[in-house]
Amino acid sequence: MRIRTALVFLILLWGGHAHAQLSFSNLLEYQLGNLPYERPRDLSTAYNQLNLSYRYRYLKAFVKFESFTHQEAVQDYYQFTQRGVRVGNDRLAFTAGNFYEILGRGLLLRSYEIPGTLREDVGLRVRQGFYRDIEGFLLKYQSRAVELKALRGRPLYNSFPPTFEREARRPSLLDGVEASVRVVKDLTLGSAYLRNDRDDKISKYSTVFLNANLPFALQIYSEFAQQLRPEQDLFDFSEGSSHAFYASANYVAGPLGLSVEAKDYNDFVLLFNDPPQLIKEHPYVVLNRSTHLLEPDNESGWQAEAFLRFNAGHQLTLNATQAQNELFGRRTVFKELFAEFEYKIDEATALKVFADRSRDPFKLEEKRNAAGFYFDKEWPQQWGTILDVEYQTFERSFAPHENVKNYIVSFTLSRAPRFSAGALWERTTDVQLADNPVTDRIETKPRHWLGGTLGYKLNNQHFVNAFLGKRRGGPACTAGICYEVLDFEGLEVRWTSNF
Amino acid sequence: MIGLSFLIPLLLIASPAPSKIGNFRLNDLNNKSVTYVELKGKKVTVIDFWATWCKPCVRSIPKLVKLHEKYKDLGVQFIGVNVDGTRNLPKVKPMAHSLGIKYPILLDVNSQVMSELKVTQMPTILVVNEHDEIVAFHQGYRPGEEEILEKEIQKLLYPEAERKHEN
Repeated sequence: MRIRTALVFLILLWGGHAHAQLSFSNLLEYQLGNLPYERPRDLSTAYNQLNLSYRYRYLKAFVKFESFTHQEAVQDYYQFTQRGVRVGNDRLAFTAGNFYEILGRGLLLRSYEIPGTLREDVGLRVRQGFYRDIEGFLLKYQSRAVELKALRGRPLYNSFPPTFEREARRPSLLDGVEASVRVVKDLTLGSAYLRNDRDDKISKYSTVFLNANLPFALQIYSEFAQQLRPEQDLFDFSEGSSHAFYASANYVAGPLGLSVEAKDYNDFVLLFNDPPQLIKEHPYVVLNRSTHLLEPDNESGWQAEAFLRFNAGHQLTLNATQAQNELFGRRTVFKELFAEFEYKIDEATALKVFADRSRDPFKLEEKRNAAGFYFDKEWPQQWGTILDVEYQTFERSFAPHENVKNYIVSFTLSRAPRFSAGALWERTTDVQLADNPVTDRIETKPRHWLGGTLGYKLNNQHFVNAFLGKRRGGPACTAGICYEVLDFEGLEVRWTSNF
Repeated sequence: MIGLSFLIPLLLIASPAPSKIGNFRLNDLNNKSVTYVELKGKKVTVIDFWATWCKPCVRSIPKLVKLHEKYKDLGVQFIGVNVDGTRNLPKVKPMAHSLGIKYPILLDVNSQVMSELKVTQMPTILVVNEHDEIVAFHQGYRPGEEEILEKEIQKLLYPEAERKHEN
């Protein structure tokens, strides 16, 4: 299969034409180091991802080649993980191979890629690109008034790296169609149907949605998806039904911007869908790490966010979120209040301060409070500095006397367009992180992480980033997708190239 | 074997001709389907890939808004491509409004255009000439980047003045 893919690509290259375009991107990440308590300390691994595409008029051919090499040749892989051909233009296109698509807002189906982000599981210790694509066929028509999609393919279950067999990584076969029509200028109605065949067990789903621009700069979106079962009525919101409801509204007026969202998900874990989470995705590390993870098995709730801009360029952001889960007979309520104010001291200096209060009984964390600031100063000759200070404290509901404290201080120096360097220090009093699992005793002393980063742009095509030191892992969310980042101690060099 | 991994970027270190942008279609903030060709500037197009959760993106946008104001009547078009995905979609319009963005914002919910243009970091700002060739690729934002961006815009707007200046 690899040879066949390479041959097809070479034939396309040889058939080069003045109007044809070949483009590349490459990401290489080399690590010399390991998890904090694992041996050897100087483990050497490298991950490489090469994306090649060839475009000629209405034709595009593409491949993604990923490799992971380990100093002891354990779990190595070299694979064409994506390949395909797309024929068409911006209106009508047919894709055969790997593709990304969404139905509605992702309640039924969403495939995605988070370019530049890698995934590694603590148990498997194999790095891979962070994407969840579909392998199959997609026919898509888009115009101002109508959008039609028809697809058949196998979505990737990306918890398994490319070292696993295709059958394990792509266990489902999906058939789906979607039609959405702009019925009047400011109203779009749509519906989608999806059929999932997994191990000869068939499940069917449908969704309906509307998108409207209303008077007074009000915009609304609403979608209801459900599993089609003989015993379940249409628009069934009952406790036993398999459904997902999502609604959002936003409003802008003068210096004010508002968004409000609501959700009600039940028995809707499909492994290829991604319903909106309605949990704020924070740019601050302590808050991003403490995110509440959506449980589409049973979760309802709402989120409201307001932005207010002042004449002098100052800005206020307020967010309130609530989510309820009822799993295994236990009801938990996640609550969060967040406020951030950006004060523009002058054209070259800005100070952001934030405060956050939350509780997440699902994670057994209570009285979780955080605060911090982000000070940004521009200097002459395109130099810049950033000081970021964050503090968080919470109690665990099973050990309320143990008050966990997290601290982060980071400093970045940069000079546009080529250079940046930074240092990041973290400290925690969390005994769950302080303990060294290798020793018999239980360590309780606060734990520290200190790391330095260096970034350099070689030219328009090549960027190099390096990290040296200790990095704290934990949950992280990027582009709306949450995943686990592993702890790391050592040297990491990343080289990205684009053509 | 690990050493071999370094060969690929080394092989790519030569600078070939600039990549061209193919036409793409995305929805804007009012759910209207638009294409790159419909929006692009007569002389220069600046495409900013950004997200609501990205601190450097939010830092850079006021600078881009100023540049847009300065050059919008000279054949320069700015296009924001938001890559928030479905999680933050309802916040994009209010946030863009509060940041004072007046240029079009397109929603790349599946990161399709982002992948197509090989964008791997937020923000990434592309400067595109009238022939749809990417002439500058800014990964990340550092203070002062807007001054370099402005020079690149001027270079495309007034190529003769630039040549004289270089001589």
